[in-house]
Amino acid sequence: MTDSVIEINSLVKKYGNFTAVDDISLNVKRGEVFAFLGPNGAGKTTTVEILETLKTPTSGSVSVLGYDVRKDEMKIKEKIGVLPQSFNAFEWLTVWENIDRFAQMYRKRVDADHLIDMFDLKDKRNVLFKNLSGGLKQRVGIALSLVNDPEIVFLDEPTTGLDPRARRDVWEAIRELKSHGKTVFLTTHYMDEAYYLADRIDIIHKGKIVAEGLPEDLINRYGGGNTLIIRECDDAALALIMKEMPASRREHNDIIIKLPENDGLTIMTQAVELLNNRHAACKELYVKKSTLEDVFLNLTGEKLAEGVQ
Amino acid sequence: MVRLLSDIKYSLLAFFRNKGAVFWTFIFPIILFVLLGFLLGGTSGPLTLYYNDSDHSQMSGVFIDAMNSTNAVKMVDGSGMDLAGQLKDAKISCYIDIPAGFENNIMASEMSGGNSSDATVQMYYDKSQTTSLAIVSVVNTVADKINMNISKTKDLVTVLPHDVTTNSVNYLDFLFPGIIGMSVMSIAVNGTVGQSARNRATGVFRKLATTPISRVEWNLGRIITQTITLMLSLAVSIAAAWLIFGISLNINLMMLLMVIAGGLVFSGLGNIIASFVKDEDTATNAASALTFPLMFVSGSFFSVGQMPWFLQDLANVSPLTYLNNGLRAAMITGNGTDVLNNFAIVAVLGVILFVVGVIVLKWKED
Repeated sequence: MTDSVIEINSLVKKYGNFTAVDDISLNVKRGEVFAFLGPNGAGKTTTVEILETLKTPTSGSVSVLGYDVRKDEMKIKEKIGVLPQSFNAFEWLTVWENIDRFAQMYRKRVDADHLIDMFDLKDKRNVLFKNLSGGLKQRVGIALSLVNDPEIVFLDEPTTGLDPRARRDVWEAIRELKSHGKTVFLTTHYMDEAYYLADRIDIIHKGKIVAEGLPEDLINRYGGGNTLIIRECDDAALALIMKEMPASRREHNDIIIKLPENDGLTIMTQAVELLNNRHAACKELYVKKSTLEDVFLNLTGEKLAEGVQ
Repeated sequence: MVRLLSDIKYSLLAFFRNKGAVFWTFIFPIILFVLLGFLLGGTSGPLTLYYNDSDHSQMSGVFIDAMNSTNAVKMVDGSGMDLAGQLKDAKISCYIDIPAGFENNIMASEMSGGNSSDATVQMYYDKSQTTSLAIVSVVNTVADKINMNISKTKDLVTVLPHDVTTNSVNYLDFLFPGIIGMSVMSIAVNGTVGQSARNRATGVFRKLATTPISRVEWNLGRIITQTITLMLSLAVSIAAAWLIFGISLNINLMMLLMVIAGGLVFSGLGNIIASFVKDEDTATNAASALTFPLMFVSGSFFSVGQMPWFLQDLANVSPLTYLNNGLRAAMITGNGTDVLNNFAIVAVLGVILFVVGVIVLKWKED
């Protein structure tokens, strides 16, 4: 099952003189969780809304489930589920009523109570949507994106504005989607979200895709390698390590050593031996892995979460 | 069809859970009707009593002076005026008629020493107008006083009251169709603006845009739901008018069609407002800014003819004027041409505004 359910070739979307999406191409395979990672304003939502047939491409070809987004709007809409950015349902209807109301809009429907069980919303079944917390609203939103048993689920910034606990709950709900074999197209500006959820990531910046691959591969390739950190050393230890290991850098009482991609172990062994043999005192030693945040920083020179600065 | 029915079912469910919406739809029109009914129901400045003196005698002059000297009423000579017609049109609430031979009859009665008299004052009044009752009591008191002064014992002057309420169009009858017209406008404009602005602000429209439901279908659901609530509001208002003021109204098909066409006009207008004003609060304020003046210039509460010319010009371009006129024609005068003309204007405008509203109110900017 490796057929592509989304195919984008040379997509361009312009608003007047402004190019929101600048010649991007990508494929999403059936059953994978694909993350579109980038800061606000990078062109993520524009791309997703083109896939959802809400916006028309300026040029390029875009197909979803084999249908052309320009021609087969209704066929696509029947077979996809969407959690739009900053989502709300009908506030004066309960969770169950909202699910049922949206389900009635489709030809193919899933039973509302089935979805309520699936997303652990049983005790909120008869609560008005407006009285739910932000995290629960997003979970209901994900449940709503499944009312038509879609083949692809689009989640646009699903955890923006949520507290850490609620984010975790939403992540579990998204993993639930994957376990049910749904293809998930996720857009986010949170690197931890992409890292935790995605099988594959495309990083988009100013309308262009700047990197593509598996999360670990991206980190290895663009993260700038791992860093060895030796904390809270006494003066003897600091002097010794600085002398014996020329690659090290001192920051207060800590030593920081960038590890080369293929030779990290040698340096770590050397550091441990130095500390063991000469009885120099340090509190702890650990390796800090680089993150997608570093990947983005290295690729664009900008920070991810705060957007373009 | 099933999905349209489901949509309507859930819209109504959500509507009735929203206490604010229910208040404005059902209770507010009644409050307004009751307040205006009591406040303006016939009062038009000091109590003026028109009279028609056909006797032109000393005695009739005494009677009129006696009325004036009570300071409770101001006597105005209405000879030559169509007082009966004015009463029928609810322009005045009461008038008296002193027939020729009034003085002679008093003299004759006093001479004869008889108990009864043929000297009568005819009084015509409209009981449904609150001021009429005050005037009636003043007239009766003055007549008693004169009797006492002349003869001490005998009733020389008799006041013959004629209640003409049943035949007249009084202020309440005039007001009620105006209240209905106003309610149709405020329910449709405020309801539509509130809902559309809210659905856009909260992102419901963005979600709907991703479903296979079309905007035409969605708006069809809205207009049907709104028609149902308008009809329910109308039924509640009619019941209240009957319970509180005892007025029963001429309910007919044309009146219902006027209400539906009016709903179309004002929900179209509501969608147009919501499409231009993106912010939710600003949109609801804009809706009030539109409906509030229209409420007053379009003849909902007073007839357009009483207003200064520049307001009358405004009334001529207000769709509510035609809705009110059509409703009054359908409910009061029964003038078929008036009904059809006004209905045609409102219905055509309704279709145009509704279509424009559906087109301009996009779910998603491209």
